[in-house]
Amino acid sequence: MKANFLKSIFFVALSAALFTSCVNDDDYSIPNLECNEPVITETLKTVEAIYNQATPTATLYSGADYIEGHIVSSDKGGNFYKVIYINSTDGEIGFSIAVNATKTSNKYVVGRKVYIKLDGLYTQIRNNTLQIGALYNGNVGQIATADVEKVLIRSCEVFEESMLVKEITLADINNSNIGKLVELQNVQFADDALGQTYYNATNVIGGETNHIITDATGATLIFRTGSFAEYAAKPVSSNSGKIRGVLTKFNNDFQFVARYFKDINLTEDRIGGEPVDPTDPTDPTDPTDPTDPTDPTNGVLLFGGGDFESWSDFTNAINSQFGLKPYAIEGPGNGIGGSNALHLSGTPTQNDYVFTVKAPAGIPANATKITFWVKGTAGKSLSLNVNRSTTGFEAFNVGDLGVNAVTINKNTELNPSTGSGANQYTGVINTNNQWVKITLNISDMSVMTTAGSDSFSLKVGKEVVYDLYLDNFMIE
Amino acid sequence: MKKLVISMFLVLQVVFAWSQEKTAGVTGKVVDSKTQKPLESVVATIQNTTLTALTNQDGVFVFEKVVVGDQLLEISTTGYSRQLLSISVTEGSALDLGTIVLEYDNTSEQQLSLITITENDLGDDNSGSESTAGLLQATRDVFQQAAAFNWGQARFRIRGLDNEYGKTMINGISMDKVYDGRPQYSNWGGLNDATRNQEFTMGLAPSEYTFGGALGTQEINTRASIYRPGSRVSFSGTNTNYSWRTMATHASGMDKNGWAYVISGSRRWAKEGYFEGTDYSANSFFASVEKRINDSHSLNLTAIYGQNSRGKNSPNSQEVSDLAGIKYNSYWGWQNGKKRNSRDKDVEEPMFILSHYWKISDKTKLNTNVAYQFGSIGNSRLDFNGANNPDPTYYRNLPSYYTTAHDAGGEYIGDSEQNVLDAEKYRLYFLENRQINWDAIYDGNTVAVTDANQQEIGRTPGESLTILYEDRTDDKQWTANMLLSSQLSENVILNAGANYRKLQSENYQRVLDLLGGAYYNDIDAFLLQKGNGREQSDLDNPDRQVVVGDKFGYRYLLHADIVDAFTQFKFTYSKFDFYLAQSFSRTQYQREGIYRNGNYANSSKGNSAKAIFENFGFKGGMTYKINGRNYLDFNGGYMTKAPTMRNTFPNVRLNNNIVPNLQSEAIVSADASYIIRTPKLKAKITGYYSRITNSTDIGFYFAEGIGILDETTNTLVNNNGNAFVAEIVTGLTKLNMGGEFGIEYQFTSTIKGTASAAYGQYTYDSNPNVKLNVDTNRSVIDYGQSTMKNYKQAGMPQQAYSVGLEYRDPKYWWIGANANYLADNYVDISPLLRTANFFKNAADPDGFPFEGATEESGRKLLKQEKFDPVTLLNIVGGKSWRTSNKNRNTIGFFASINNVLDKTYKSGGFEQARNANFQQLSQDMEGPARSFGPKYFYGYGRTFFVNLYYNF
Repeated sequence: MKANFLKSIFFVALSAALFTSCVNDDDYSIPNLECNEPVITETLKTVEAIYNQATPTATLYSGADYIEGHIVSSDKGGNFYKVIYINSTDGEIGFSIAVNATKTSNKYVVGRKVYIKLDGLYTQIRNNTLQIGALYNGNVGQIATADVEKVLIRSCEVFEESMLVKEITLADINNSNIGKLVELQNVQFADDALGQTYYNATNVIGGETNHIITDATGATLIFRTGSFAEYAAKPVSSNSGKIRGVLTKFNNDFQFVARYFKDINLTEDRIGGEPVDPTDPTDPTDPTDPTDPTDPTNGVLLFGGGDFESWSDFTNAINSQFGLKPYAIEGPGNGIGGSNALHLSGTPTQNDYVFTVKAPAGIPANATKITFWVKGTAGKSLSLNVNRSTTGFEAFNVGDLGVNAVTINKNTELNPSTGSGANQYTGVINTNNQWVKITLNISDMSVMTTAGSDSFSLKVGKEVVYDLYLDNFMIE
Repeated sequence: MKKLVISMFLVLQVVFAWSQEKTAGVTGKVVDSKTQKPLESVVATIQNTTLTALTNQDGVFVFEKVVVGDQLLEISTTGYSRQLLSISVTEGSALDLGTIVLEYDNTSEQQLSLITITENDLGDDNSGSESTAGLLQATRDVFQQAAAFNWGQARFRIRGLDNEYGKTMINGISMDKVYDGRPQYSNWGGLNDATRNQEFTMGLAPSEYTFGGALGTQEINTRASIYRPGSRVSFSGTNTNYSWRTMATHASGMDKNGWAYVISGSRRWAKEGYFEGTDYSANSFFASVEKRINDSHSLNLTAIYGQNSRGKNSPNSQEVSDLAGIKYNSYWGWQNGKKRNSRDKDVEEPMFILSHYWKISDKTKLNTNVAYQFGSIGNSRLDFNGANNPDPTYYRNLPSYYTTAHDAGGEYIGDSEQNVLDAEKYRLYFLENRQINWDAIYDGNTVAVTDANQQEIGRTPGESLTILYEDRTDDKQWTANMLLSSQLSENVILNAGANYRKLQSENYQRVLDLLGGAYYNDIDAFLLQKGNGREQSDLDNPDRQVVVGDKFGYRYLLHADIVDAFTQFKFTYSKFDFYLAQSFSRTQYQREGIYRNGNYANSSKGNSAKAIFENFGFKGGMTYKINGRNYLDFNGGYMTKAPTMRNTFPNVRLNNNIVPNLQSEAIVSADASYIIRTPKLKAKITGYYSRITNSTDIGFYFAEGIGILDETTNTLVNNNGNAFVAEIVTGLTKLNMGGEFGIEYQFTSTIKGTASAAYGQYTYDSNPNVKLNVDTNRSVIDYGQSTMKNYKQAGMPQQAYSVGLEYRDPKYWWIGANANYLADNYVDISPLLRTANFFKNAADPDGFPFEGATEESGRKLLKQEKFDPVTLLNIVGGKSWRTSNKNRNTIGFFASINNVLDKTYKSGGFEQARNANFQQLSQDMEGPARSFGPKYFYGYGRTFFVNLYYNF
């Protein structure tokens, strides 16, 4: 019995284990990650040459040329998104590449030298910055995911960040430092920023928060933080010290963008001591906080109910002769910071006047701008009539509207029969679900201030879907 | 109700009269056709009587008294073809039938190829499609054989019922997981020889071991003394989910000291199975030892240990299979020249069963079993809290993302020049990057090491941005049961049983491989609203950096305590057999959170409430014997069934919530059959009906492109979010009815013809409530009713037909072929898509529907996809040789080719659970390929199975 039993165990084990090899054992060795320097046989141009060649118009680059540079930005900390800043190898020029790719820093880490294959890309100087990418709506836009690795080729050279960073002060903020990795010396956040978080949902412009950096001389610089930044929810430091990041420019504003929390290296005492009575930290997540996202302003409401907090104030301000179009409705809770808004939701059949309002008492005679906020999408754009103090109106045509705030000048083209401005509705609105500020420049006209007279109209284009929220019509 | 149950238990002991008739004796000797050796323990039964006899060591059976007249004698035993003999008994003259030859049954060989089908997809995520073939391995019924061997490959399910409604047992110990009610076949996979002693009872028909479910019961008996002594080795090759199998089994038979043992081992493996990148490795061991203490007591210990590790294959959208083929699998990628699959399933759950057999008297037996099972199931996948989705079929990287594009105004622009160019670009991009890029993952997880000249000279581990981890379940389960069987009178048999199960199941994520990195941050990076620790997996241990072997993500225990009992009375008379059975059970579940999840700080740690269910069931049936060859059979039952643990906790990974108003299912089931049994012709036709009400179903999905709703306003804030969601469907009714037909005719002694047909209609019969749990923004959203009524249940063909011919040569070879037609298989519908939300235009303040969203257009969009029917041709055959005249040693082979015509067909599929509305779905349908279309599983093309064996 026993012998038999042992014998059969032996036989079963032997037969079952006969072929234990030749199968994936789920034990894999680390792949060979050896870096092989790419061989660039085509011409290597200097960044300077490309910079000099680029114009404010996006231009297709043809020619089998490459440029090289070191990566200085990173999307690891969440504050850079789909853009990579690169500095020329001589450190003289910073430029940007737009990519439709996220988590790019996993492959294109700060300090890594890359070769950029220019053939088929577009170059453009915008905001004094050399931008490289694909073409999108007439400007340089993002390179498709599928193309990124073909365009951005990694070299085996990886610089220490210390070899790339340039120490400057606020006095050095100028066009020559755009796109470069810089470290601001002896700076701190302005008093207004204290008590806020780096990203403050109630203080956003174009979807991000601008705080002001200042120094002992009183010079200032915008410090810009998005909601996905790893330090977005942290309170703004009151200390002074160094801040590292990339200097960018938007229109005429220099904007400083830090990459990670560790870039904000404020360890020294505050210059000039602590400010008196800092306000309580604002809870950025509280949606009921009715704070207006605009900076403190001297403006007044453009018309009764212009903030739509009182719907009846608004309807009372409308010239009942023309009324309010049915697709313009109350947007309770959909306004800025959870306030109320005006909601355009529908498809106008005509190029409608949505409403015409009468001027309230107290419109400043020498007002320079009208501001309001827009959120949502529309297949065409908005056109606004601002009545002159004399007769007729000036037309302000918003055109394309994305996530960035815009300032609109009056349309100098006039309707020959009426002498008023010509309305146009071309353009598409998509604010990517963010509130975007629109400023009408009325400094070169005098507006109707007589209470009770028609002063302002909102117009829309026909036969496309409008899904827009409007809020806080102000004049100042 | 409970009182009623108890009184039913007691009332049914009625004594029935027994009349005296004229009789004579019948004897015979049973031998193996090939070896001519006597067969022991063969069962001989006179049909339509209570008479049964067993053969002795010399193969002889004896009936003392058989009623005179024409009778049918059935001779059967495991592994051999059943014999039906017409006999004529004359008063006063004993009938000696002489030698009766039993042929080795090729069904047993077919079983060996069957297992390759059954274990393939069981327990896969999203498959929702499980064949019942595994249950039917041992069946003799011609219809059930067709269901298992011919239709199983196309995921046919008997009566459209999920395995959850069947019971699978080993020695009366339930093998159905408490978690989902389904057996884990991997636990004994590959041990075909050792688990060959099986009984299957269809539907409600009575089993000696359990009250059972609506589908049927499978009982595997591993008592060592019942195995036929001998040894067997076999070697198989196939191109299904594995390539090779070796198996060896030895059974000792009972020796003079009362010892018997059986041991068996097998190994199955494949570098790559039928689908790309599906590697397979399984080892199984089995041992059973019995000691007969005396005539009335016997002890048996069985140990089963199956290790199973296999790479899974992805379900694919139409677009992806059109681009990359039906064998395409997005789960694997090359690593150092080897195909590495990111989704492995590893099962290792050894079990021990100690059984006591007590023959209290000639008429009463008591069987007591205690079992302990422990071990783990792990399902691996990639986690990427710092990197992009590594899935090569990520929707933004496919052409359809561009060809279904719409502008902000909703106008179709997928055919614009730019989008057509982009689509082509991404078609090429997908084909170039169609597998997981392990190298890129390792690159992302490491940082460059540079020399003095700033040149990269190597990589050093950094933060792991992508890791390989497994979702682990570590079960520890005790089961004890007692089964009583007693012949109360000549005509009445009592079966009774009681069971107790106690389960502790630990569930967690575990790091398997840091993929080159040094650590992984244990936070939920996908939460929309971070801060205040919400992204922490465990607030009590925040900001952990985990390494290989560490638990992370979620961790909790599930406790289950289940008691059940049944009684069953079987009455046997010459014209009627009938039975009545009743059961009662109490089920208790509880979750115990170990982590304090940051998103559910107050509801994740510690004990949940107890979910307790008390359930009962009644069933009964009868067989009316019109004459010795024609029978009518009826079964009917009503039972309630506790929801499975899986359907009890809607967000089990993260919190202690229990599905609100969770109820037991109620099941009404009935069937009626007409049966013909003659020596040449056997046929059965059955009609059946079952209605399951109050079903709860929780689907877990890692959904991409699901609309994420804002926590406070319930408005869409993100259309592209990737989220782990639980879809909670309650109040679902399933209605299954149809007919089954099977016929077998012995044309000549060598040629047999078979035909089978199944025609079913399996539909939903209610409009259940749908809720969605989305962790990324911590909300449960009630979508109200889903209009699922009259949609078809998915996952199996509702029609199946088979005809077959078999030739069995007297020289020990045989060949058979069958042709099958399977139709009416439907895609699994997404309940979420059928809620009112589908038509609601979120942008409209009054909730008016989308423009153009009419009932007609909605119907068109939401029409359930029906898969094309398929014709499958299968060929099987085999031959065996005696190697010696002195003993029963034989050598033989079995071979089969399935789907000879190499037909490509969808065996299952599911609509993607995406919070799509009318507009989004219409837009997705515009364009040549859908971006979020259903994902499909495909059946095997032409496959073969060859088995060589040696019995000695």
